[in-house]
This record gives sequence, C-alpha cells and structure tokens, in this order.
Amino acid sequence: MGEEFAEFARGRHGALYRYAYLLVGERGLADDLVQEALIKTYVAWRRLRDPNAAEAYTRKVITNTAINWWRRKSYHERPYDDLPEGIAPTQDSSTRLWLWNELLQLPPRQRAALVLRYYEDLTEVQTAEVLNCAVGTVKSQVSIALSKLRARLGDDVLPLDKAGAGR
Amino acid sequence: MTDILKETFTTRATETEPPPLDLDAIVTTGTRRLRRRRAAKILGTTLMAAAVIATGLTVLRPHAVEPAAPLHAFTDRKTTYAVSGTIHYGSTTIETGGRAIQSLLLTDVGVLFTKAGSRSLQLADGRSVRTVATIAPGSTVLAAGETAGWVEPTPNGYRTIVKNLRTGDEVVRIDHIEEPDRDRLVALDGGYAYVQEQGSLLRIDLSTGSRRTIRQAGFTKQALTIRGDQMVSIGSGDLPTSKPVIWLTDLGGSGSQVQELSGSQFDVAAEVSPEGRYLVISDGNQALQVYNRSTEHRDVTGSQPRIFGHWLSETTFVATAASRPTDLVTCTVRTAGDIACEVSQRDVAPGGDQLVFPSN
Repeated sequence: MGEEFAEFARGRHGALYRYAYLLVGERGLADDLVQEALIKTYVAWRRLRDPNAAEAYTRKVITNTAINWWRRKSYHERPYDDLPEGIAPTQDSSTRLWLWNELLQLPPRQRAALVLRYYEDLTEVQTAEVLNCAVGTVKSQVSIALSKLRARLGDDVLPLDKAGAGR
Repeated sequence: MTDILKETFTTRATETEPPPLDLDAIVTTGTRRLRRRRAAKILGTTLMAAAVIATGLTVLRPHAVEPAAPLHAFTDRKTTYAVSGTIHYGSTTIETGGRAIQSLLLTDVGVLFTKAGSRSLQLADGRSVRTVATIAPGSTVLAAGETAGWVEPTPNGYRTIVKNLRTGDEVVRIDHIEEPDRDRLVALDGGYAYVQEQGSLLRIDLSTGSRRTIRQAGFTKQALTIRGDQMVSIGSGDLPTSKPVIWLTDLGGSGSQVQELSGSQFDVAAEVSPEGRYLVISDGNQALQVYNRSTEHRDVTGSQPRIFGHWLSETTFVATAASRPTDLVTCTVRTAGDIACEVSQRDVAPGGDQLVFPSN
C-alpha cells in the first residue's frame, strides 16, 4: 500500500496542487488542501487502489473541502480595484488578470463549477458528480457565474459563445 | 468566452510552482487516522450477524422506536459519545440500529445525530428516535439548549433553519436562492444565533427575532464558534507566507491572538468552555492545549496527543488518547493553573470502531 500510494502522490501532486490553487487562489491554502486530501486518500487507499479512482477521489475531497472552507470564510472580503476604463480584448494579460480577480470574487461553488468545466474539461455530469449535486444545479451555477463575469467585465472582454452563456 | 476562461486558468496554473510534497507527514497522519477506524475486514461472524439483525429491526421499525424506557433529562452535560450505531449518554445507552453514527450534538431534549450516507437529522430522546429534518449534504448542524440549526435543500436553493426542538417552532429562517452558502450559521449560544453574512457577523435574538450587526463588513476572519460571548476565529497572518492564527475575541471588546497553527488549518479544532473562560485547542498531532483567558496562561494535557471530546462543565472536559486502546480521559483545569487528567472509561471502542464525540 505504502509504495503504491507514494507513487500516486508523487506523480499527481503537482496537478492536484494546481487544481487546488485555481479553486482557492492562495498558495498556502492550496498546499493545505492537497495535504489534507492526500491524507484522506491514504486512509481510503485500500478501497481505491486504481490510480484513476484515487485521483477522482482526491479531486473530490479537494473540491468539497475548498467549498466548505470558503463557504465559512466570507468570499466578499477580498479587496480589489475597479476595472480600469478602456480595457480591450486585445490586452490579453490585463484581461486575464482582471478575469482572475473576478473569478476569485465568485461564490466558491460557482468558481469550482467553472474550474471543473473549463480547466479540467469535465462534462456537466462529471462536474455534478464531483460537486455532489444535480446536473441542473451545475448548469445554473455555471450560467450564473458567467453572467456575473460578463456583467462585471463586459461583453467586449467576455463575448457570448455562439451557444449563448457558455454551454 | 470559454476560451479566455480556459486560458486564464491554464496561465495561472502554469505559473504556480507546487511546493515540495511532504509525503512523510501525509503517511504519518493518515496512519494515525487509520488506527482510529474500524478494521472492517476482520469483523467476526457474530458482529456481522448482530449488524444484520440490527439493520432488519430498523427496516421493520422505520421510526426505530426504542424499547419502553423512562424519558431521560438531557439538561446535564454527561460524558457522551457514539460508537457504531450506539449512543452513550452517561450511563444511558441508546441503540439506533443500522449504520454508524457520523455526528452527534447534545441538546436539552435529547441527542441529535446523523448517520453515514444519510441526510436525515435524527433526535434520540431516550424513548424514541425521530427524524427532525432532512439536511443538505455537507451541512453543519449546530445545537444549544432546546434549539438546533441546520440547512435544508429547497426547490430553489437552500434554507438555513433554527428550530425549537421541543415545540417544533421555527425561530430563524434564511433563504439562499442563488448561492447555497450553507454554513453561514456560525453558532447558537445564549439565546442567540450568530450568522456570518457577506463579511458581517450578525446576532439574532431567538426570542424576538431582532438582529444586530456585531462585526461590520470587512471582518476578515473565519468565525469558528461562539460561546459565552467569546468568539473563536481563524485569520491569516500578516504575510502571505504566515501561518493561520487562532483568535479569541470578547464580543463586547477586542481580541487576542492565541495560537499560530503548527499544522494544516484543516486539522485544527478549538472549543470554548460553556462560560467562555477557557479555550481548548487541538492542533494536528500535538497535545491538547488549554488557554486560560483571564491569565493568558496556557497548559497542555500531558505529553501525549489527545483528541478533544466535549466540555462537561466550565472546568472539566472529556478527551481520548490518540492511540489504541480508546480510553476516555476526564481532564480538570485546576485553580493552580495546571490540568489534571485521569482515565474515566477504558477501551470504549474495543472493535476498533470510530469514536464520535458531540460537536457542542
């Protein structure tokens, strides 16, 4: 058990850390999250075994721990400046910076839904599985989050997809 | 739009260098937790049979009515814990049947509990077991006196509810339609509900429903609990690399930094005594620390790591050793400032089952 788990942890630590960082936006907290999730994975290792199952389990623990943590800690408290006027879609790095700041203002579950859908490329069904909610809830959370981002940053910066509010 | 989202996420992720992996700490902590868990593979035939019988009885009696027994008073804080499906309250044993109990809370009208894999919040009052609510997954349940608070799913989102368990009256209701912010209820204490909402901390009088903001927006700490007008919270340190800090704050005055956390902030627990004079801190693998608010003196419960159970009185609490066998220890904070602990019950989970203490 020890060597298999160690191999899994060493192999996937970087990816899991980056995922946790996208969820919480703080390096120290991301480190704690991954540490805690790997401890839980170690405890559950006998029934997981399959590295794919272990990774999915660890990701789920990270997600739910992050949501619970940020749910308790007010996500409205982060200071940020107003969006400067004249920001254009061509200013890619500025756009990404402001989008990142806006993402951090989203409620934790909405942010998690976006990370799972658009960074991890999970389907709505897979995202619902990780978030432990209905597929309809994933759709509404993503839709609300995208609407908020668009309202804040403008349609020029965040144009609508052909399909509408982003699948 | 999704392209720029993906680019933003990918850029941020790529620019973030993971810290070194502390595999030794993970395995050490994981092994410690495993020791506390049931060794499921070695369950004997007798235990299996007992479990099947218990499950069958539960199915036949969906409301899990207990055999006739006197109605117990639950106003005293007696040593309380659960092992598997059995609740121990002082010398009283309450069988709930079926799956293992996952969480436990003491109230004046009985013991509230949830079971693994179930969303039912149930109340055992010594005569019967009844479901009082269906709670949202991951929801924290709080209780004090005759009241309890939880979060229920609704067709449009979630709803935070505080109810009087004796009368069934709903005393607080907060709907969350857009954002299922399920843990905004911080504490129930002294006839008040404390709610952390959009950076503010509100106090709601449970008898009148009046609300008062006791911390304005911009309150940057995470309130863990409030008891005896003392709030325990976790706040970030001054520097980005600082470790999180536990604060103890008098709601009527200022706060003081009590402890810089040594381990993960997810592995910390801090419980205030009923009148708010002491704070017990459980920080990772370390021995329990007891902080005296008036003297600012801190003491530890011996050299061994212990797991905090619950307060029995203002100066006495229950704990257990973090190793097998699972002995219960009763610790008393003495006037001299030190702490005396002695074993009060030996090996309360002989089968290796998980021991669950009340969370209040």
